[in-house]
Amino acid sequence: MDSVRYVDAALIVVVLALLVALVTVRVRAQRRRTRLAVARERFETLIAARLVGGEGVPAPPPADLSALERGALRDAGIDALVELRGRERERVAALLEEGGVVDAEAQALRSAGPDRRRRAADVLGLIASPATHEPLRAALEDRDVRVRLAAARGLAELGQVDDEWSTTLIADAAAYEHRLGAVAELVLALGARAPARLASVYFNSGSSEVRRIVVAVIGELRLGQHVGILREALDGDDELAARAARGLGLVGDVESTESLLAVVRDPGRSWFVRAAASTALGQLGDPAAVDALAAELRAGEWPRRRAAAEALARLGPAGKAVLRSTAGLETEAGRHAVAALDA
Amino acid sequence: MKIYLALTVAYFVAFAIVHTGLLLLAWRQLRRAARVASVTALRRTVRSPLAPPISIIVPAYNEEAGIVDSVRSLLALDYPSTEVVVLSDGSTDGTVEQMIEAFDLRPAHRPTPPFLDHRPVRGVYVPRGRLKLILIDKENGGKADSMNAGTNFARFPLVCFIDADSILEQDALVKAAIPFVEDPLRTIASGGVIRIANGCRISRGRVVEKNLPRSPLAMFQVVEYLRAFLAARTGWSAVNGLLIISGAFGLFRKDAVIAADGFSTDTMGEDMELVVRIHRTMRELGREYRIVYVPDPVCWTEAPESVNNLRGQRRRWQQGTLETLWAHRRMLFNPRYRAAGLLSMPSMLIFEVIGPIIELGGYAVSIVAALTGVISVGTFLAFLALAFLYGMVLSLGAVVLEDTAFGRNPRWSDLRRILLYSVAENLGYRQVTHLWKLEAFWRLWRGGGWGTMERKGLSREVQDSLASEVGMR
Repeated sequence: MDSVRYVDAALIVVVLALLVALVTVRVRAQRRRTRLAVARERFETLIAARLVGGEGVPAPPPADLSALERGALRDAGIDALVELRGRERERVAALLEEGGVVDAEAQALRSAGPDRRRRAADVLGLIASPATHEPLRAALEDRDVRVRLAAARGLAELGQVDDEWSTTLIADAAAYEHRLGAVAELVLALGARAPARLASVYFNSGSSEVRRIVVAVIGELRLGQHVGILREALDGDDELAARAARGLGLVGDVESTESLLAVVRDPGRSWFVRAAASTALGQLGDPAAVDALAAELRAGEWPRRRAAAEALARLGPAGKAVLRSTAGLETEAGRHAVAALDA
Repeated sequence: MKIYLALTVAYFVAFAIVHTGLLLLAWRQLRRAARVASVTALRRTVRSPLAPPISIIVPAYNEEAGIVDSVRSLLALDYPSTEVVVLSDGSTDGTVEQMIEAFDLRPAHRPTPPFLDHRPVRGVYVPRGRLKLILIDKENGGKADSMNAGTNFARFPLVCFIDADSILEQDALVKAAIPFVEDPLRTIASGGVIRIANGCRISRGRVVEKNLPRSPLAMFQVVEYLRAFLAARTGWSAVNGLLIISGAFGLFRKDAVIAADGFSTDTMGEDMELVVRIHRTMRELGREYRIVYVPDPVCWTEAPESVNNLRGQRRRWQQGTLETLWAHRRMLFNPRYRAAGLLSMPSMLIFEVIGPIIELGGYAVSIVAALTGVISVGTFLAFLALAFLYGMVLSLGAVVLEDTAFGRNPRWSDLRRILLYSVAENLGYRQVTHLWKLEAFWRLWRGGGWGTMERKGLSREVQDSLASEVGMR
């Protein structure tokens, strides 16, 4: 009985403590929110003025900014940087540098918490001004793979990849830890800023996941100079081949028609590889693919039939003739043909 | 009598341990999420060409009043590649006509994909322009049947299920898709927060002014949702034991839905049943997977404001829970199913199914025991205070968590009302909802509705797709 009363008393204390915590957290959060909103508005105005007026609009001296204000400047600047390109981007990056944001984040890269270091690497990579190169290069040696990855991506954004070998090692280590989204960011940044480096990553990587991402990025960014990688990847495992087929279609590599036809006809390939090859053949538009696609239209798997019908619709009169002749049939192929003609 | 009282105390201790644990897990998870939140990195990726495209599936039955605004707001969501698939589930009002007129739709020929069974399709409509929208007019088969049809017709590897009368915040899809971008091979489902839209000002399918509901019944549900979504779901997600992704807003890999045979049309709780079946399917296939709760993306939905509607809703939910637990009873306490089988399903069984019986029985037995002198009135009151105080601790904990992590109710008056209702819900509301749960149990027992659920075998397409990051399109 007494013990129940003790528990009751303890719970009353917990309830009161939670109430006090709630009020304290809320008062502090509201104060912080208000100060942040004021600071943010001030810095957004400053950024707009810098965009219009150039270097003539001075940044606040770093010594005059509190940590909260510097955070507000950093966040306002980064939100702007994501949307900006070229000269305007450089102006905002310079403003952040002058306001002490780069120094503060470089300092954070040496802090004990891996999450804080990773965030700092992210921020420096996004600012991407010349002053961020050295701290980011140093972070490539960080003991935490997420920090190394963020730094590598930052350098890739800057087009400052001196050592593809270490970039590849970082990507492989991250892929091993299932951080494929972050690897994709790194490879995307490389593809956008230093596309020539992608080949080295592809050929040196020991991770099939990384190679797949490289192939997907080559296709999505339509990097015609790497068409050789796509052709080679078409002979790889099903995952790689599906991405390569898709990429060849997106790049528009007409010389790959024969290889893609071989994939479409290969019964040892998974349905999604054959469907991707059919789609690519439709994008390439070579009438030589009509017979193989007509056979695919009667294939076993539903997605292959749909991909073949849609591809035939893109192959001009010869493809449409096949669809029209099939459209009269009361079969699955007939229904796909009708749908493709109707689309 | 003494044995029953001892059982009640044991139950209470177990309840306190599990729910305090979940609250602490949620707290740790939210703190970690706030710390690692990369400034804009993943958001950039979600907006990049590598972002997985999403088919948004909207089942609609007689929704002529709001369907056009809903679809307009879904088409304008912040995400690089989406299509909206609207399923008119045998609507008898002007749902189809309104859609055709508003979006300039024309009849189209589309073969019905064979992956999931559903009621026959009467017509397919597509826009004359470039909108990514498809309207499927099908025979009435219920919400689960419509979601199966939507999954079949979806062109993209991720499918998002949303109620026609729910409203997604502009960036909800971006936030819900981040787990799929981070870890595309293992992530198979993610769900976000459902918030109550009663009291909010809504214009053209958007929440333009966020307010708390005026109705006391809806306010009780605000407190319940806070506890259920923020504390419980975040906690279960941390151990990959999440059993519910709300049917009002959930994002899934299409091939995982198909591998699990889609939504069951034989249960009241098709959303929970699907998630449990996905757990089961993935474990039986020996696949590594994650089902993730993301506490940030928000979906607004109307909560029932009348006692009858709320009672009906709770009976349906409870019946769904019972049917799901029964259908997948072999998962219970089975180490093969890891956290789902060993932790979250037993917890659901003990606290959602048996709990109301013990708790209500505990009140009754304690009163009788106090009246007959088995226990003193002081002891009885002390136990009662214990139950109420712990309920308050849980609700307050969830409010503190929410306030620290998101601060979604910035007004002091809102906080006062939430606190008031989190205390008041222990004085009647909770007991009444327990009664409704018992009612569901009784109806199911008498109706003999303990169906079994059989699974079809996996087709080659689905097996290949599951093993692949490419996903089924």
